[in-house]
Amino acid sequence: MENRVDGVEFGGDSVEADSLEVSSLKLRLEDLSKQGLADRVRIDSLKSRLASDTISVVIGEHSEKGPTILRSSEDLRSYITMSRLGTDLNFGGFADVYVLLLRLADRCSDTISMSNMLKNWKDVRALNLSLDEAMVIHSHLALVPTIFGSVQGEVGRVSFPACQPIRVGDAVLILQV
Amino acid sequence: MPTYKSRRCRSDSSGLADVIDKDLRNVERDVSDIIKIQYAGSECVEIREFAMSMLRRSAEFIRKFVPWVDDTYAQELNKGGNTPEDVWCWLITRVIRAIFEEYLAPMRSTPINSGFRDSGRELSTMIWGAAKTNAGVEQLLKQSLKDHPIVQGVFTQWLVGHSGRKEADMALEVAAKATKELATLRTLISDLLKAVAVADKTAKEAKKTADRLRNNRSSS
Repeated sequence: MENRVDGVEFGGDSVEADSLEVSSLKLRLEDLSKQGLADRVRIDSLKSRLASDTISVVIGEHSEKGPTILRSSEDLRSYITMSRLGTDLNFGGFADVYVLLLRLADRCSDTISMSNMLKNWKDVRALNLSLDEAMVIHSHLALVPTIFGSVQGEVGRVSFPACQPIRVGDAVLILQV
Repeated sequence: MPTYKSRRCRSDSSGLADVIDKDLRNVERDVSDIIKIQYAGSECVEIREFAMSMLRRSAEFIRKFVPWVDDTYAQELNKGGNTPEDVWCWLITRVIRAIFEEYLAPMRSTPINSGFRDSGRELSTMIWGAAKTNAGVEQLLKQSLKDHPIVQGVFTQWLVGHSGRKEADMALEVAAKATKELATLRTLISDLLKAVAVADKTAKEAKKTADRLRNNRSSS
């Protein structure tokens, strides 16, 4: 402290050192606030994910026997068994955004379309999968729908991640173009 | 990565987004037909309604999402200070990635590298994954897309990283203008100094001539 006062009195280097310290502290503070913001974002996204993890689906809201509330895939499995729908029910009609976007990409493609590939896909039949079911399974290959990521500059050129193995049950499917 | 031009081509409506706008109805009809054929029996009424509502919700999301991307691109560009490439890159690599990769994708079931003991388990896992994704989509649709925490977070990060850029650009412009004006002033001053030097020289010469003439007159 004494040195610092001396430094100030005689216009020494301590003033400069102090201002450097202040600016480095400011930078550190900025970094910390940025980190805090990133953490807040992460917490918010985790919260929203948690909310969707605890979803419940209501089926047959207007049916005579009353609504059925499902809270997990196990509940859904039980519902399918109880409703005598059979385990060979085709799941190809359950289209979420990924499936719709994959089907849109399929329509955009003028050369190698997904449906054409699937038609030549012998393993699909061997696994007792319909083309629609294979389409649903294929939609799981990309985290971001390929329609946003693999467009090659011009319209209608959508490339599919071909030759990627897909494991279904004990079998591994490999797309053949 | 697709460019904005390849995504939206206003002149001839041939961009990818225009194709989505045009084809979504057809895709929706295709899936609707699949649902009607596959779940036609009377015992399937509930599951058919379930699949139909999922289809409607997904299509609704795409219908809102595509113009939202356009609006966000235009808004961020209008704010100024950001290049079109910056804004587009941020939209594709941050916003769209956050919505799909970070938010929706973890909700889906992944059949890759996961074996199913029987077809019933596979069936229920697949449908449940789609239902969860649909629930996520519902959350996104409930409020405006920008107000959802996952999108808001990306926006906040963008604003922190890019705030003051417009002001900085304006300050740079002003500084450039001032520098130019200073250079003009310097040239003007040097011209004036030259003119003053010439005038000074002329005045001195005139004074000399006048002195000489006065001396001549006084001597004569």
